[in-house]
Amino acid sequence: MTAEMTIAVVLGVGLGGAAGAVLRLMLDRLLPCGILLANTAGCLALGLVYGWITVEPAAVEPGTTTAPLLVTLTTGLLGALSTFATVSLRAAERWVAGRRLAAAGLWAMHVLCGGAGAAAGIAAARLLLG
Amino acid sequence: MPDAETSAPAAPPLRLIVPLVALAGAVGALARLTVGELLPEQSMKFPWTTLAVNLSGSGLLGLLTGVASVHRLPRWVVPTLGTGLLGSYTTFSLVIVAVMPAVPGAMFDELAAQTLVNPAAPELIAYLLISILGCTAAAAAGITVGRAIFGAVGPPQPGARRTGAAR
Repeated sequence: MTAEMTIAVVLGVGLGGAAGAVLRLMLDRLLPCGILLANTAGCLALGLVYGWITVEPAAVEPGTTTAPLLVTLTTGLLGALSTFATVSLRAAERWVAGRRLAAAGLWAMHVLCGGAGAAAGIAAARLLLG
Repeated sequence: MPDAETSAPAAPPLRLIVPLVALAGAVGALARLTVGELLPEQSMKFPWTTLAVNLSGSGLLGLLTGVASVHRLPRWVVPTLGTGLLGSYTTFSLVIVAVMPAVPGAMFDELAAQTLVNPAAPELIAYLLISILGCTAAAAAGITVGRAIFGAVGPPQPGARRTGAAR
């Protein structure tokens, strides 16, 4: 999804990014699998959004009021809620420490939970809107 | 995941960290938006932009962690730059949703029209594997380079992390 860099888009992505990062910080601090939950929730919600825009492609047309809102939600909130770097770092630390199975397992959990979340989100959007 | 870094005793209080992570999270998301505007993926046959963002962000997080393991940084630095800036700059959800059309069966085929890039299933599987292996390698390389910059010679020693606040 792309959008022109209007003030609304910049403000929205900034605010969404701030909220997503703080939410991920909280989940990571409060739960043992907080990052996994943040990534799975991010995939589920992004699946919902993409499921919706496959049904309503007009919503992302430039110039509509929904387009900047969707960029706020996808590039801002959900892009920031989910993270690749932290998973890479934790997998790298395990791999370097000789815990290779744990490193592979960490990625497998993220891909499986993220994929299941995305599939559920897309299916739910189609069921509700299609 | 009871790793040393997830139960760091030196973790700074949330009231100090939340505003900094929010600010850094905004900057990270805007940086990803800007890279996406400069290198729009819809003109590409492969999601190079997201891959570049995730590779660079993972490498930099490794670098930060490597530096923090051998050099005493103020305790707000790693959460702000790691969790806030780089955590927000990189993204997992867009990778997974973009790869969904590779799932066997036609269930997610229409999705490809909306995820900007539209490669075939083998390319999407390659994208996922390159992202995972490349970003993990970039993080590992970053740790080593970060330690080397501050004079720690030899391979990284598991458990020798000083602050343990890496994330």
